[in-house]
Amino acid sequence: MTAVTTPKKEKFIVPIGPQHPALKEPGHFEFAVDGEVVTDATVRLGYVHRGIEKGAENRNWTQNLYLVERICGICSHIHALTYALGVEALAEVEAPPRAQAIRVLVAELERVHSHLLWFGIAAHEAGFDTLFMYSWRDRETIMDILEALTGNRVNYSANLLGGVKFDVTDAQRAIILEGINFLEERTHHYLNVATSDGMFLQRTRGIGVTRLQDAQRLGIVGPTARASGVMRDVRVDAPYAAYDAFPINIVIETSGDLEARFVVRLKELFESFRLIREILDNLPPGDLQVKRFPRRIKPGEVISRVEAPRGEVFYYIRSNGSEQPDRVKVRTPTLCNMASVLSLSIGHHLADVPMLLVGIDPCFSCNDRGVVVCSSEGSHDQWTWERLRQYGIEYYAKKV
Amino acid sequence: MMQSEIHDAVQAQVTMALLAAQKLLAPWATQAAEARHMRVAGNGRADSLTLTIQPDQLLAAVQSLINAGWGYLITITGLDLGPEAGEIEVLYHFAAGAAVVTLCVKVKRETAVVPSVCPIIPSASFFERELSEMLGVTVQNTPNTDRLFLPDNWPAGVYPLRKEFKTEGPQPSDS
Repeated sequence: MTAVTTPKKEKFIVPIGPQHPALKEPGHFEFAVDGEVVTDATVRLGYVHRGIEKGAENRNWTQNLYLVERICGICSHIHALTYALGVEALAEVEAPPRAQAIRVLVAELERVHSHLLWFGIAAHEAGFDTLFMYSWRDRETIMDILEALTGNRVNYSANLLGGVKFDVTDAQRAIILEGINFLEERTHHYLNVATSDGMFLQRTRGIGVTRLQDAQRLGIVGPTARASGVMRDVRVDAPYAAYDAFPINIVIETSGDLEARFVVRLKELFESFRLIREILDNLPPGDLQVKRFPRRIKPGEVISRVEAPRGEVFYYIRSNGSEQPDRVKVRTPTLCNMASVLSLSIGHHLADVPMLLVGIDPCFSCNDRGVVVCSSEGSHDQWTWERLRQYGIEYYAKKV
Repeated sequence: MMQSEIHDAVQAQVTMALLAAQKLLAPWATQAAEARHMRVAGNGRADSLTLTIQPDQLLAAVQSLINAGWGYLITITGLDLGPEAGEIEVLYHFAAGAAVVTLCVKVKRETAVVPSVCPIIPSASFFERELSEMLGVTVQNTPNTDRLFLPDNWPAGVYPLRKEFKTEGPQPSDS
């Protein structure tokens, strides 16, 4: 909240955060602005830092499966999967093919729910609330499927060390296929809206362009990177679980703007639908879990990488031969992509900031209250995220 | 493609990438005989290489990977080996496709200093901020030393991911 003064010109630091009820977790940003234009940006994270890496050192291998599943409320399955794959590799135990296929099935269902959730939030930030409500209504389809399949809407707890907990029954299969057919039709509609609605394109086309070279330099991952033409998808590059039996086609766009990030995520939904059908039709026979998983794991180190809806999740796990891990290191995709928001906002209008931030699908957030604009005279003005969002919408409405 | 063909194609890419990395890093790696196997969870592929690098050689090693366009920095892991070992390992994980190369820099716990890789990889700033606040490793020349995750009132000199920092273990939240 420092004020910067340049001669004859007022420059503001606009702190945004840390609260935001729409997204999952809080974060705090400070944007220095010169009039409308952002000139500098910094971020402060950790408001919901729960010490999970340290906590993992005090729990046994099985308890940690439940701990890591709670790192994220949106991509919970992905964390449990990354951890389970890593621990299985350490213990030299391989989950049966049917279990691996069901893991991928749940992962793709989760991706559909996550992308639709993001699509709604992004529409909301752009002031397109009808689209937000439709996409969240449709997302309920996938939430119902996940509940029918696993018993839970979130934290599905599908994984065990060495397999999965449940099978897919014929009744569940029918529910999934029906839901997927409906959502596929809706996704065609959303893709059409995102690429043809004039008001919407005004907020996305040509905004926040990240060139291939910059995307590589900034170490961006996931759909955000693929929207800039970076051929990077762990499912393709380093197939895990059942992704070599059920390969995915990588979705790439090259324009690198916000529109491309919409197109990549929506097109990825079609790939997810295709894969879900393929798995349901070709579910390998066999067991759901291994007979026995060791309590103690011999000393060793493992790296586990998985493609979450937002990009690569990375785990480093080290065993010292006991019943508990010696170290569990987690790197989530948002940390990599956050740097791109900071560098992208510079030179953009403050009105574009909500969309730039939401464009990376941050698994954590900015705020809904307590945004303080601090002028060089020291007079304070309360801004909320809502006000910034409204400011963005009105700024563009005036330009029509 | 069939499942086995995909597996073989990925394995071939990995083998090539690891050979290239080994060649690139040969001038900087010490103790080449020290075979440290860092497994990668990836459907039974052999796809990892771990090399020990002296702190003062780190930048040169990283530069040689970047110059050759070999992969990207996934993250930096800090690893406290405990008071008896007296060492902290700083692991720089790079990935090119399915191949993972880890550069391991060993430093003394009392005088833990590594150079910043930010001049070469600007996006490493977040990783370095996390490393220094969680493990008490000083990162020389890093552009931003502000706290990233820990609160402002966190006591100085207390590093939660060091082994001597004890938590009470699993407990009900209201205790």
